[in-house]
Amino acid sequence: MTRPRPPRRINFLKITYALAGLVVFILALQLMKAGARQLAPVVENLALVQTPVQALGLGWLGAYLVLSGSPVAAAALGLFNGGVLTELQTFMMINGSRMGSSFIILFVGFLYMVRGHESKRSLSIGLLSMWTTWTTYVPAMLLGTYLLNSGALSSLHFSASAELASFVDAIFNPIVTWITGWAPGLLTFVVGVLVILLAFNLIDRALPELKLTGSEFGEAPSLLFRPIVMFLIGSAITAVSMSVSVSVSLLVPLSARGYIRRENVIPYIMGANITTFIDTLVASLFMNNPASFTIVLVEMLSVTIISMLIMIFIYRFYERRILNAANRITATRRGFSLFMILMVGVPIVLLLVPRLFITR
Amino acid sequence: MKILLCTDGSTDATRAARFGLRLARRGVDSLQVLGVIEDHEDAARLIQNALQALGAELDPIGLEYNTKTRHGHAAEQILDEAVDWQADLIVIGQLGRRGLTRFIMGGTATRIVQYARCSVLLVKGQRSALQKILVCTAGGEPGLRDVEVAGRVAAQAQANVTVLHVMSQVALTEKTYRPDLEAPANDLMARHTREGQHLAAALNALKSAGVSGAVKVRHGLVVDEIAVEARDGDYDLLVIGAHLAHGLSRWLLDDVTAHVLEETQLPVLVVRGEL
Repeated sequence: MTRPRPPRRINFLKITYALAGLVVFILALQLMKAGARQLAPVVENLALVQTPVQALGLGWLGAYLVLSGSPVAAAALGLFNGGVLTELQTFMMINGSRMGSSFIILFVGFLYMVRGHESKRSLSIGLLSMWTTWTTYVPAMLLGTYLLNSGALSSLHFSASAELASFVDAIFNPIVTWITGWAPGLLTFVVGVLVILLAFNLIDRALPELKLTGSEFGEAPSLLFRPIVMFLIGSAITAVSMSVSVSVSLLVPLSARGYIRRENVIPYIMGANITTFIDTLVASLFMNNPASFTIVLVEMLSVTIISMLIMIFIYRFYERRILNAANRITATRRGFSLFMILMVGVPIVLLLVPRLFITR
Repeated sequence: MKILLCTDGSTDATRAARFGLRLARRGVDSLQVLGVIEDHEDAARLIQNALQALGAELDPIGLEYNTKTRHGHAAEQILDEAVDWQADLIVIGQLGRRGLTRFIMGGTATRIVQYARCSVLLVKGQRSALQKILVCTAGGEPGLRDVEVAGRVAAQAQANVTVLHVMSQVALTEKTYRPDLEAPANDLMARHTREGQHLAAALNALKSAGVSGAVKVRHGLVVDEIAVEARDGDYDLLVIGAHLAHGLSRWLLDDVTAHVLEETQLPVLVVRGEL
C-alpha cells in the first residue's frame, strides 16, 4: 500500500527570503545609483575608467573580488546611471563581469589541485566552462558594440512604470538620503555593493532546493543528448538559478556518480550564459533609465546570436577546439600555473595599460 | 538470414554487394538483388548491367537469389522493399557518383540507417579482406548484443575483434573526480567498475563465439575517438548499434551512429535487433 503524499506546504521562510531579497536588491541599486552620481567627478579626475577596455578589465577584476558576476553587472548599471560610465563602457564592464565569474569555478578547482587532492583532469569542467564563455563573449562583445553604436536597438526602451518608479522612490529615497548623509559618494557606492551582495545571498536562500538524486533519473545523465537539448536545459535551469556555477553544481545530484559527458557540457554552458543575465535585466528595469535595459538586452541578444551561429554552423568543430584548448592547458602543471597567473594579470593589464596611452 | 543487396548500377555498389556476401555467406537463407532506378537517362541500362554482373558472380557460388528493380527515390524504395520482403540485412554501397545518389553517403545512406527496421551494412571504400573488426559498444544489453553480432560475423570470416568503449565523462566538481575516468580497459576490468564489467562480458561473448578479441577504452569525444580508432587501427569493418531511441527520446538524444557514418571511411555494419 502506498502512502499518500503529504500536502505541499507553503514555505513562508523562502517567501520571506525572496521578498527581503527583492527589497534589499532594489535598495542596493538605489544606493549604487546615488553613490555613482557623486563618484563621477572623482573617477573622471583620476582617469580610472576612460575606455571600454578599462571597463572590461574593471568588470573582470570586480568579479574576482566578489567571487560573482551578477553584483558587478548590477554595479555597472549603477555607474552608468550615475554618469560614470558610457553605454559602451557599461556593456563592456558587464561582459567583463561574466568573463571573470567564469574563471571562478576553475580557480576553486585549481586551489583544490594545489592542495594535492586530485589530478589536473578534475579541472576539466571549470576549463570547459571558461573557454565556452570566453569564445562566445568575445565575438558577442564585437557584435554588441556594433549594435550599440549603430543604435539598432535603441528604440527598444523599457523601464519600470512611472507608478512603480514613484512607489520605489517613496519607499527608498528616505533610506538612501539618510545613508548619503553620513557616507560620502564613494562610501555610498561601496555600501551599495555590500548591500547587493546581501541581496544575492537572500535570493539564493529563496531558490528552491533540488533534492533530486541520480536514482530518480536513472542513466539519463550518462546519455548523449543533442546539443540543442542541453542548450535549452542550461538556459532553463539558469533562468531560475541565475548563476552558471550554481547551474553546474545543480547537475551533481542528478548525476549518479557526479560525472557528465563532455559532449553535454558545452551546450549546457552556452545556454546558461544567456539566461544568467536575467537578474541584470531586472536590475536595469529598476534603474528607471530605459537605456540601461537596452544595454542588457544588447548583451543577451549578442550572446544568443553568437551561440546560435556556433550551434547551427560550426558546433562539432567548435566543440573539438574547446576540448583541445582545455587539454593543452592542463597538459603540464607548470603550463597550467602560468595560465592561472595570466588570468589574474590580463584584467589588471586591461584596466591599467590604456591609462598610459591616454592624454588628458 | 534474408539479405537485400542494393545497387544503382555503379561499381561501388557492386563492390559493396561482394563485401556483403563475404560477410554473411554461410548464413544466407535468401538473397535478393535490388536495383533502384532514379530519374536519369541511362540508369535502367546501368542497373541491368549491374544485376547481370552480380548474377554472374553469384551463380558460381551456388547461392539462390532473385533480382528486382524499383523506380523512385533510392532511400524510400530500399526501405519499402526491405519491409515488404522482410529483410534481415540491407547492403548498400557508396552510390554517390551521379545525380541524386551523389548524396547517398550524407543523405540517403543516413536515412536508410535511421529508418530501416533491420540491420544495415554500408560499404565505403575498398576492402578486399575481412580480418579485423572494430565493434563500438556503449554498454548495457544493446551493447552486448552488438558484440555478439560482431562475434558471429568474425567467426564466419575468421577475423579478430576489438571491442571499443569510449568514456567521455568529466567530473562535475573536483570532489567527484575519480581516476576511473582516465583508466585503460584492463584497469577498469580489474576494478570491476561498471564499464569494466561490461567489457569483461563483451570478452566472454566473443570467447563463446570462438573468436579472439581484445578490449580497448579511449577517452574523449565519443564520435571523434571512434573515428580515430577506426582510422588508425587498420580495421576492415566497424560494427555499431543503431540509434535505439524512439518517441520523445529520439528528439532528445544525439544519434552517435549517424555521426560515425559521416566520419568514418570504413564499411559499417549498423546492428538493429538480432542478426
